[in-house]
Amino acid sequence: MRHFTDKQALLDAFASRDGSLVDADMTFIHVEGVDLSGMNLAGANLSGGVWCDIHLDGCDLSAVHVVESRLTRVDFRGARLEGALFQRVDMTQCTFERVEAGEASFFLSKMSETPFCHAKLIKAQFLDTTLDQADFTGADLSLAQMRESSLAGTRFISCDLRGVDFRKANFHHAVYRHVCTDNALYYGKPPWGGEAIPGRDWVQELPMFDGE
Amino acid sequence: MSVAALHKKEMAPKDYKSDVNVVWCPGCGHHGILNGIMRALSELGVDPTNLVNVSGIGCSSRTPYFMQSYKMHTLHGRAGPVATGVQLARPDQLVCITGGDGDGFAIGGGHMPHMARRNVNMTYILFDNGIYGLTKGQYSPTSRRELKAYTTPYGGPDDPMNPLLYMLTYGATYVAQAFAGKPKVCADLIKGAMAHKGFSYVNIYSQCVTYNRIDTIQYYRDLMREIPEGHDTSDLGAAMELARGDGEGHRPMGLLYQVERETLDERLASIVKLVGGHEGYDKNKIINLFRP
Amino acid sequence: MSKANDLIIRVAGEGGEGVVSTGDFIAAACARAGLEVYTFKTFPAEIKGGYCMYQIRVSSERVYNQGDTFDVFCAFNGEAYELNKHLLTPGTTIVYDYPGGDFEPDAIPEGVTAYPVPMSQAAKDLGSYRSKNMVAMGVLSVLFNINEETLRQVLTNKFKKKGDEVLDFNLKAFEKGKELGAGVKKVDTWRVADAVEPKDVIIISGNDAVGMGAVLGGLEFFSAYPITPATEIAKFVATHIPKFGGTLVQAEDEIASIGQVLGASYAGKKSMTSTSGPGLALMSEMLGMAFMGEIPALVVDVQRGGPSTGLPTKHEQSDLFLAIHGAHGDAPRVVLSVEDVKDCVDMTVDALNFAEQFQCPVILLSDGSLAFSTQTIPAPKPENYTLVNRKRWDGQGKYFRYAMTDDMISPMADPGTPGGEHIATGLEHNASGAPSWVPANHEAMQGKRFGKIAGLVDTYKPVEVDGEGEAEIGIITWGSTIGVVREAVERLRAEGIKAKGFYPKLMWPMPVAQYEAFAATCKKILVPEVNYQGQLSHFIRAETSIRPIPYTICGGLPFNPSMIVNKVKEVL
Repeated sequence: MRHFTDKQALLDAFASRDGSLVDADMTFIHVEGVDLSGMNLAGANLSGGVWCDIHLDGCDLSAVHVVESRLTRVDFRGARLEGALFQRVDMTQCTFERVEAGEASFFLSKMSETPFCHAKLIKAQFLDTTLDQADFTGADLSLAQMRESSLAGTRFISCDLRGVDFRKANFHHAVYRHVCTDNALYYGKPPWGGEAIPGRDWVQELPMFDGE
Repeated sequence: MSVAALHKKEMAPKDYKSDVNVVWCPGCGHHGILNGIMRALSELGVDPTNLVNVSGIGCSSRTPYFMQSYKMHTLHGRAGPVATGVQLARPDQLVCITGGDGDGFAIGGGHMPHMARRNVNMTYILFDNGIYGLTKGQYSPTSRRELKAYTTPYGGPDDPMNPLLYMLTYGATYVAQAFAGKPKVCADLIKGAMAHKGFSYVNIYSQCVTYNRIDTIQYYRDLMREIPEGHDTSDLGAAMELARGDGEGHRPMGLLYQVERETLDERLASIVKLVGGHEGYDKNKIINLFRP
Repeated sequence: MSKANDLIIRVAGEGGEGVVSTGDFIAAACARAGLEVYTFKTFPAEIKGGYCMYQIRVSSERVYNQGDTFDVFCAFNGEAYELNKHLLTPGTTIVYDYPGGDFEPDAIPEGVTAYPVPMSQAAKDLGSYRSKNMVAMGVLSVLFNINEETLRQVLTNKFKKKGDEVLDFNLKAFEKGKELGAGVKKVDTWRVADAVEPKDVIIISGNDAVGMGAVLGGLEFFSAYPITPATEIAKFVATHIPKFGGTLVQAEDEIASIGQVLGASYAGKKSMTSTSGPGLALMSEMLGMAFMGEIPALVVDVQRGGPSTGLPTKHEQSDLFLAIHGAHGDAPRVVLSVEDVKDCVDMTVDALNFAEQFQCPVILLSDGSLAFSTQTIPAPKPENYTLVNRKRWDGQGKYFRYAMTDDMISPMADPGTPGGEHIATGLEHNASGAPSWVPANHEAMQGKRFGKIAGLVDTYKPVEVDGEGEAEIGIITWGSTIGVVREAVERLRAEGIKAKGFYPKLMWPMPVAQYEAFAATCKKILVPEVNYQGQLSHFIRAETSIRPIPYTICGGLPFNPSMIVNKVKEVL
């Protein structure tokens, strides 16, 4: 695997003629200690790589494609991540504070202890993803999906959880304070107090595929 | 479809999403392909009102549900004929098929040659994961023999087919191949296919993480080779050489073939022109032919 | 035997010898002379050559069927003679090619009139054996009062396109035939009725009539796949639909045909296909999809002998089960069945209308004998047909494709309509089209799809009752057998037997109340039909309290009126 520890070397290898990393195919590389903050990486492909101690804060990472990579101490703070796809990604000590990640997908990924404070995550999908001890303080998760994800000790404080899909997630083990949970989807009694909504018919409300 | 004629609309890729949640397994390659399709539509400025998405049955055939457009979710293997009907009825719309390898080449295999040879003006995006996912993991016409699947516990008895050679042989006028791990390449090739006038076929390898444990992202990455620069996309022979794969079994990624040819709807329109057809034609003229 | 002004002429010989054109010319000449014509033919199964028969029934009154058997038989060759000689009963007449033909008949039975005429020899003398049929027409016209003037007009119209030389040659052969005919001493009394005031008619085959109905019904898209005996429908449409800017394509198989029809229909065009039993069987799955997705579609099934490849060129009424129930799951549709060539025009229009109105598949049943039967029918008046277009969304508010409405019919939206984006799907779905397997939803949706067509039993002319009051025998039948029964009922009444007929055209949904009301007036119910199992009898037993007497034949040929009359006498 090619190894990069220097921003210029990375740019030399992947930047387009105008110097940006838009749509760059940076797959199967090992990058360490590089500061890319503020750059435009929209549509870039960061799959199959190892990325350690990277600054991506303030970057445009919309529609970025990250599959089967390992990310350690990657700083995404304030980045744009709309429509990004993270699939089977192991993340350690990464930060997603204040990201703009509407409709981003986080599938089958390991994201324990990740801070998402004040992030915009409208319609984001966290499917089958480990979010234990993650912190969503002040985040907007309206219409997001958390199906089958692990939420042990995950913090939802002053958080917009309207319409969030918590089905098959262990959402009872998360921490809720000052949350707005109208139309959230879950089975049984809600952990944030109050009663289960009576007469609620899931299958009526949701399009569900039978096998074909 | 020549999208130049379509009503243009400025929309971000995500605006093409419908309200129906994507139901593919997390880890499936189809997520990336869907993103590629939406990106291609966005870049072309396609108004979803002028888009008809048609599919058969299978995981990938659920794609139309996840997008805003006119759409038909038809029967196993039958997306092709149905889409042909739509295209001939409304040549002013952009018609697209999304489907899988089993749907397209097994049960629907009889229709494939005819869409291609007739040059029906539409785009076929085939999500090739070498497996039947929705029926839980049986081998397909593109499965490798090594694959031990639900109905082939000792490995497959038959050899996989070559979709690209097939489509080139039958006369598709745009043939390309990509892999779900390269969403940008997917988007570019799909965009080219949609902009192409004639029958365009894009084969996209897609990993099935649930039932096909041997065709992994890593496998596809090693399998694919970008088509060398300087390849003449109007050269059918050269395209077929590429489609055969190189001596080491690699598969080409990129645009193999693209030519202009009259489309089926154009030829049918020329028949109407030939007879001077028009809506108000006097039906009595036909009735009079049968007077004794 | 025929009525006084009613004559049946049968011409038979080798395919390619001009048998069919002889029949067509005579039929057209008679129609031009203001007479009613009903023809019936059997084709050789071979690609070239083989036995071929054409029967023309001509009368000054309306004729409903091909009749019992011929009065006059014209044998072009020995094979034709062999295959028909058992029908040479006292009172019949045979004209045959002798001397100079390929056979010499056995002793002519007592009471049969025989006219040997050297037709082949005359044609050869004229320089072309191929003109034998022209000679035959000349002979027949003189011997049996076929209107010479109209026959000459028909021949002239046909051959003048091919140039004067061809025309002159054929007319010369025709004259030669007349000369030969004049030389025959006529001893029988058979003659075609004299010409009357010409009516405003056309003469057309069942298959062409379906094509004409499609044109009159505003058809815009047709997807074809060749199959005997339905292919002529596609040929008609292929010839004429481009004149209206419409489209016909030939698909790769019947599944593709119905697939293209559904696609084009979804895209807003009035669409249809035509086929026969094997094709309809292949289309069953797609018809289920059309039912589920509420997509208008018309399939015309010209029935042939089954099962499997069966008897492709022969007559049978054996697709009723398939038409009504062929598809998995509960998937009803509208099934109509034509009686005659006039119905082929009118009910194709009705069928297209119903498909549009109810947004569901409609199957129109015709059959092999009707397909090639030419009949004189009143010339259709395009302005007399009311065309129905599907209910379309008005663009107001949010669009729900499968919205529940008072009449259970939901407005459709054509591609390109802003805000009308929707899915047509074979999956069970809710009002928006999104998949749903909620039990209550599935039940409600099935209720909607069944319910929207249920009212048809009251609004469509579902049946015709022939006769009034009480009867000893009530005959219920369908398809082209109706025409045979009409005549049988007349004959029974003439013999003093109180008989009534019941002729359904709407096969499904089944107008049960009307079956019951009819049966209540009849002591016995006989159901003749051309299939082994008694398929209509089966539905009558299943859906009504009537216990009919089935009368089934399946020899590849239709009933004739005598068979019905005899059967009635047997069961009374």
